[in-house]
Amino acid sequence: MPLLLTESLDPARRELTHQHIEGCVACSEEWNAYKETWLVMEDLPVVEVPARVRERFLAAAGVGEAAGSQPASNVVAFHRRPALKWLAQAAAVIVLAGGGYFAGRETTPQFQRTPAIVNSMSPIKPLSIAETRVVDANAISPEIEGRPNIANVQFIDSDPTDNQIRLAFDITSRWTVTGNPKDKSMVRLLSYMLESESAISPRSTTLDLVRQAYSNPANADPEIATALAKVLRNDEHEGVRIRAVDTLTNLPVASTSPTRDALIDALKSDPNPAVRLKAVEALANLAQRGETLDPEAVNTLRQKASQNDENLYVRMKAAEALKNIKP
Amino acid sequence: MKHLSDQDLMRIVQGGDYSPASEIYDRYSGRIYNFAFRFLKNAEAAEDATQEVFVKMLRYANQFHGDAKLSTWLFSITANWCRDYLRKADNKAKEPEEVLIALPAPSEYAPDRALEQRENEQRIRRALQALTPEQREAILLSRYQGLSYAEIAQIAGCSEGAVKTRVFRAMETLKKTLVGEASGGDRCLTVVP
Amino acid sequence: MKIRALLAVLMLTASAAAYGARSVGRTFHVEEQFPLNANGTLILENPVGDIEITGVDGDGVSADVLKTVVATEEDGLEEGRFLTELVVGGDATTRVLRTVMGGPRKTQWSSSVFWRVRVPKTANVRVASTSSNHVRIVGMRGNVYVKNFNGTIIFENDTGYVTADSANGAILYTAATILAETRLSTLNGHITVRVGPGADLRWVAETIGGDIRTNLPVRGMFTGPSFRGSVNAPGGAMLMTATLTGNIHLLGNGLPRETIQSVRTIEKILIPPEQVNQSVGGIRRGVIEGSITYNTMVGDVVITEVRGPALLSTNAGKVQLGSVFGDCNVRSSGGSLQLGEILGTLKASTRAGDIFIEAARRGGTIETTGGTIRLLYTGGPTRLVSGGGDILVRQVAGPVDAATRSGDITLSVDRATRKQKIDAETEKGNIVLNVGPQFGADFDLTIMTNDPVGHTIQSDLTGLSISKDQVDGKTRIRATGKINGGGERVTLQATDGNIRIATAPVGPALLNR
Repeated sequence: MPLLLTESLDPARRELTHQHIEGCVACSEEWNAYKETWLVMEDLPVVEVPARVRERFLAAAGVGEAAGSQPASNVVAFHRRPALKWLAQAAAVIVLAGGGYFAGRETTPQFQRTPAIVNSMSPIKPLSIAETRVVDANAISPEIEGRPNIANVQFIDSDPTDNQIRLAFDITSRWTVTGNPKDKSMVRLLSYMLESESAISPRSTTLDLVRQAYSNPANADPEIATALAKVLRNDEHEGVRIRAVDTLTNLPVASTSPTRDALIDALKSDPNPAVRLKAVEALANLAQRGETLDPEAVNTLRQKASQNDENLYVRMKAAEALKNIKP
Repeated sequence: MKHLSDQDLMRIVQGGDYSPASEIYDRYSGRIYNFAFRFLKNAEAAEDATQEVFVKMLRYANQFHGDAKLSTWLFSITANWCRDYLRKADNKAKEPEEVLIALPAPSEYAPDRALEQRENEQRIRRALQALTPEQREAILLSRYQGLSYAEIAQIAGCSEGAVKTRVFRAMETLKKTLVGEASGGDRCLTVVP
Repeated sequence: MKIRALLAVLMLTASAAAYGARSVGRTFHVEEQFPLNANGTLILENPVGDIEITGVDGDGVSADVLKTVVATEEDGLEEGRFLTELVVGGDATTRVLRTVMGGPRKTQWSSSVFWRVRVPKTANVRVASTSSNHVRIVGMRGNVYVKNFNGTIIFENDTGYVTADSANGAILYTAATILAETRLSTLNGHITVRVGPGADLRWVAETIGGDIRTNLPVRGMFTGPSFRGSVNAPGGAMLMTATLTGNIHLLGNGLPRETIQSVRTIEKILIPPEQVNQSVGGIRRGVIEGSITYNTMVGDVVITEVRGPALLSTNAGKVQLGSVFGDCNVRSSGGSLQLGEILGTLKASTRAGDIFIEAARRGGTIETTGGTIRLLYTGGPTRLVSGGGDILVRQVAGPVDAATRSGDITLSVDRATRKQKIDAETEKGNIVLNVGPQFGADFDLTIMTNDPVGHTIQSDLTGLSISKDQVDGKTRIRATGKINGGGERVTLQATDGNIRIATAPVGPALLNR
């Protein structure tokens, strides 16, 4: 965003960035806020220079009103910068390359039959673990090792005359990914696992792993907190939500906005009192650590403490949290 | 004189003839005054700045090189003057003017609209004052004077990269103050390669 | 609503509150008058700083305002002064006075504003404050509403409708009598009301964690934590006082302090039988010889040893017991249970919280609506139910029936035990059953799953037959068989999880309480 705002991107990257903004809610909102700011600043009116300044200057310079120079408007119309380059909309649609970790991608590896001559070095692109591949048969080894599981087989023969057949199938393979908890790939992978119910099971193991690895302040990452907040909001199973809120409480970055919002929502409306209790405890911990809770969190605690039909323990814990708050 | 370019006028001045002074003043005083006023938020200081800048223009005319833009040079002098003004301790201690939003005189706008305009103006002025002097200088020159980053870098005496950083930081602060945080609060961490 | 900004500054009073070598402070004083009708409304919003409002004859509002800024340097003072705005708006019908904190800040500073305001006594007043030492309202006849977070709210001789709502602040109300409905509520503070000894009023008082005390002639009854009654003659104005954790005092001016007593101890006050022995607050004891029955509305129950049966309940609090020699019945409506060695039959339940038990020698029933259950040893028939959370039993020496709505169940049968009845069901999670290699049972193991490849039944004991079929769109994997000659029935059912029967020795229990 800074580079785009200050026109530091080359045309191609500027184009790509605009395309991304169109598709990304968070970036779109931020960009629109910048645009609105720029427009709001328009409201600062041009102020007229008092005539006495001209008189004083001309007197100091020792020049009078020269013949032919009429008292011109004191406000010189300056040339505004033409509509900001970054406000101009891109015309062409370019497929956004690179990007998400799990974007499907078609690759057609070209295998050279003659020795390759390296003309230039390009950076090695990271592997995507959820690739969709389209490959020639002669690119695959004829040896099939390990008896992989194959499913959803499709046989496609779009042109019977071309002597080519096409097989599409899903195949399972086992990946072992090693890395530092702070590696972005590791963070993304774990966040995806936390959030994607159908992609992996059992989830409870991932939650425990995340709690173990990310309780260390050195490994703190807001994406993990965001993923846990999503689990807390969306999972239909109480035990999973309880684990998620418990894990959130132990993360060093628990005071980020998505986490706080998820805790507030859980406190307001989770049907299970244990989840609401843990959400209060998490907010209380934040208050005790000296974090400033925003007005919404404070109001939610206040409402909960006053709510006659709420579990009494939850009410008492909410009141206790309020004692430690510095608004 | 009106048909002569800035370079032509300055050549005359450099020759010792100050007759183009009023023409140059008429061309640029509005921009210089508005920049100084928005920067210092003080009308009296802005008047002094404007007068001083054009006096210096005459006094140091020989330092102006014809290949540069006159506006850039004038803004350079103005920015230096404003910075010196702020640096002086007694100027810092002066109470900045409080602006009373009075009920507007009848205008083409409905009273509500005029008051709203004045309120917006107030907000923007306050928001600009919340910036550091460097950021304020950069955003005023960029947003209101239409100067390029290269020109602003020359005026501010720093690199173009530093100017861009100041502009961006200023926009961040102004966005928060004038528009508020974008809703949702989710951050996008996608990097476009 | 038209808004005008106040002209700030002018007099500098004492040049600082120097709180230390690195602080500078300055106070700015403003006085202004604004029109307000005698029956108008004053709205005052002041996040940080004291407020005093006095009702006077006549109309108009006069505000005497002190704005104090403290900073670590002069630039901070300037910024603080600039960003702490005093704003007036509204008109003669509704006058708004407001302290507005701007931003963002670039330097370190703090500010507070002390508003002293005189308003027509017949006007209505609404005050919103966050932090202050006090908010004081004196001599008002109109309606008064005060909301704050911290700080004491003081009402003196206000005779109109009065409402106060505080989070942590105390509320003090003083008047000769109460003429209109008065509602005073605070979450964590105390409430003290002083009226003339002959004042007639209807009184509702509620506190969960505190006491209700008076030295006035009062009669009424309790319903739960609420007291409803009257003082002196019936039919007076309504006084409602409510606090969650604080005390409520209703006192007669001039009456001796020694006559103050808890309303619960007054003879004429009706208390429902089930609440007669209900305590307020928790209990902490060491060893109790014999049995104990304790029931509290709020508070923790912490006892090291009960040498007899125990019947304990708290509506809000945790229960922590060392050992109980007899039967044990423990209930919390919200709070964790942490129990040691229970020699008799155990019944333990909590509506929200984890349960940890060292030993239930004779088994029992252990339930939580949401939370984990960890039981190190059970020696009798045991039922464990969780609304959402894991269940773990480290050593099973009696029949077990465990069910959780979501979570893992891990049961370890004592290795010397060859036969045991086990039922375990989880609606989302795994089941692990650890048994000795000679364990014999009729096994019926079922998984319901959408992922028949990812979820499996694994058994270190051989001899189970596996079948798969489709039920209601899910795959049912079932493993049945008599192992080691058969025995009691072992029925395990997991939805969207694995089942594992393991015979490897289980390591030492490393359980977090």
